[in-house]
Amino acid sequence: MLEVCALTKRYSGILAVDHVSFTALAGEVTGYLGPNGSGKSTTVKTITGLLDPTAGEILYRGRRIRDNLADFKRILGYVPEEPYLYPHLTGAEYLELAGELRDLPAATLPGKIGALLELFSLAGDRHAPISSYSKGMRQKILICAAILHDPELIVLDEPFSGLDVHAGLVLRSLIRSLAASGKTVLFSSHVLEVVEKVCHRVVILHKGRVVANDSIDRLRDLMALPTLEDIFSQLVTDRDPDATARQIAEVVRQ
Amino acid sequence: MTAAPSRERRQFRALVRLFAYRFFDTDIVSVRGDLSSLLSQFAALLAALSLVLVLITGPKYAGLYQHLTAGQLHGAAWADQEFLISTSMAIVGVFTLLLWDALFPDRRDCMILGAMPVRVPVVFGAKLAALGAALGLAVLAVNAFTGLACPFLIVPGASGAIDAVRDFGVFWLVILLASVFVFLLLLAAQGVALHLLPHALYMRWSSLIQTAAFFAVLTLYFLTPPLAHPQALAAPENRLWYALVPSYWFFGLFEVLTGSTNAALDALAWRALAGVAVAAMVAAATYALAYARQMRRTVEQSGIAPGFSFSSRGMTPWTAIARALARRAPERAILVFIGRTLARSRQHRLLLAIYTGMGLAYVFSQVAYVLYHSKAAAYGAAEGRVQTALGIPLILLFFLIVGLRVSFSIPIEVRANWLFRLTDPNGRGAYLGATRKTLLLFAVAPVVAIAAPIYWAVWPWPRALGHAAFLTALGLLMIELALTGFAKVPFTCSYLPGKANLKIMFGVYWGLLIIVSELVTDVEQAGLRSPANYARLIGVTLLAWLIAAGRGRWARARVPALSFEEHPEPAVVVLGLAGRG
Repeated sequence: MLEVCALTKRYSGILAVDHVSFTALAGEVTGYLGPNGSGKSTTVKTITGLLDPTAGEILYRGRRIRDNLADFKRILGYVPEEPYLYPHLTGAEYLELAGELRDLPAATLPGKIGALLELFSLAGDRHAPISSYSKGMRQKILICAAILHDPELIVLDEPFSGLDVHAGLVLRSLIRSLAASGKTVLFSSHVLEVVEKVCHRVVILHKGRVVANDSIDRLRDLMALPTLEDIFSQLVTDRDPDATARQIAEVVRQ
Repeated sequence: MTAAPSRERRQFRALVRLFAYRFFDTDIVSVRGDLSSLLSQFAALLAALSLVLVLITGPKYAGLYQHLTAGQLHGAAWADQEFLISTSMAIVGVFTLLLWDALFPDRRDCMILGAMPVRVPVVFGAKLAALGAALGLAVLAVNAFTGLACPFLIVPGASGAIDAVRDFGVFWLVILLASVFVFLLLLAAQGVALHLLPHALYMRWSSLIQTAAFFAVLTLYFLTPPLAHPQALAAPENRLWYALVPSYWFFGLFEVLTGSTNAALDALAWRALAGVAVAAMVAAATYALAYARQMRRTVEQSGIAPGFSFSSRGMTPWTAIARALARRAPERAILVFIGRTLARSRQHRLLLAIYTGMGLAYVFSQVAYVLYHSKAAAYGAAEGRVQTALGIPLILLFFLIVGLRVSFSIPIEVRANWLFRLTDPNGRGAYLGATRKTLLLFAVAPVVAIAAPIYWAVWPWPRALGHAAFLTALGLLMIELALTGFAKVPFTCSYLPGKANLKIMFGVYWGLLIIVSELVTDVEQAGLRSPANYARLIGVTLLAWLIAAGRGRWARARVPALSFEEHPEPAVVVLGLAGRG
């Protein structure tokens, strides 16, 4: 179980995340939603240890992750928001690098990499440099690298970005099956339809603060709204999207 | 909507500014300023070199005119004429080669400009204008002082105002033609390579051609025998040198235009003019024709050389070496990562080539001194040769280690370093071990491996073995010193250009290197006279290495975490004196 307790993060005095608290349970997929600039990626980077929190705690299995970040990172799998990879390596070489940095056994690593590349339809491009990969192919490499070491906790930041329909369906199913096997999955996304189908519960963030934290069914009942999109719009949308679109079109015509 | 000619003029100006900024946006000059500040800093750097040349060349003429015969005066003046021309040519050559990848718009330019309503001829024209401005500035700056003083000194027999004006004009004309020749020649070389090689092969070989040309320019500049002398010109055995070395052609042109009637110089002058014409024609034909096609191709590729196909086991020679050297997987991973980055990243390879080139430049100048300088032949030649022989690997070792260390600081896709940040607890020591082993393998091992058999062939084996041992010990010490304070995974930490203040530090380091290398070779030369002394010398070096290694370990143990972000120097430095009595 991952617990985020009163997490606060400031960048040069500017508040990005403000006393955020939620719990992600093992065996469940927790959706983490919010509009652009709401603090989603900052929270995710703090959970993964890439950023230090200004205040608050993150607990995993009841222990503060900062007390033993090394052990925590060993059981963590992470797909970052942007597919930043080393462009001079091939897909297979990147996974080999990730596997060796995680000290995976040399005897099984090549086989595991080969199988993952095959299942993600990347076997034909395994020896091509990542610089020649499309965005979707890079995303698949990131997903492979995140699960290569069979992590207990998986943090996914916009994992569907750039994926084609088939790969998207595979990933959706994969997320559910990872959770079903007892792993804790934190899933940050803008794609509400997918979140609605995959997540057991959602945390909605707005301007750095949690504005909703419950199962999707309970939120629907509580707010008497039929879809997650409606709930999301009600909670975080300040302006009428249609009116904004009309104003943009007018500015362009000037 | 703006009219087409006016729009294109605006586009042209904006593009010239963009391209010119990129040329000068290097670590040698500050990147924080605007373009005019950058240009003035760059020009000042080259003008300083010009001032040094005047200070070297000028004073001797004060005495020469009174004491030398006309023939002796011509000998001295010819050498200086050729020296100034060849120096300008070498600087333009090195500068053009540094801009090798900028001769065509890069991928980012093509992606952005390709989607905009900018015609290819406008981009082409802007690129050429920016290149011309950059090279013109370089030529102007490097001759800023020599171009004012030397035309009046290095043309014996000139008298009166008309001669002075003629000499001044001829000097600048010849310098300009010689510089244009070098630039066009390199442009033509790139254009020919683009046309002859399939694109994938060009991408792979382009940086090799660039590196080879870089070393060729340095070799030609430093190792060409000094033959600009009336007697040497008349000697039949020198004809081939005169025919092949372009700086002699332009020297001939300078002499002819300042009034010489020598038939041999006349032939050289024609060769210079023909050279410029041929280079211009080939460059125009290949470069211009390749432009539009290259812009399209560039969109399809990246700055990374195409990967080589690996066997099904994924084993390359470097992977095999890494596996043999590193037992732990994280250390192996870093070793392989470093090797692959150095092998495939053009930027890092070029950086390494520049440092190796600087080392070779110094080595070549030393070799040339022993080979050609009359004083070296007259006295102390044997001692000088031994000292040069001892110093060559030392200097190369220094530049290779520094070049590798500097290239480690330049990131490759810094935003991808999250992988290392997420896994660094798995092997912090492994990262540093891998870095040290890389320096050992890429700097110490090749220098010792190349030097040892050569020394073995020319010296008795105990002496050759002793020198190889000393070189290894010194290499180990240099590695430890280079890694002092280095708590990073190579190529993964963000980099702040200009932080090192290379304008000042480069001169300091260069001066220190020359002093230290002279000192070390003196000490070694003295040690070579007795085996006991030599053993002591190696012992002291090894002890210094152990102390440096221990100190490094101690310092790194106090570093809380690996560094992935470079921070700017604070505007105000606190001395930390408060509270101390």
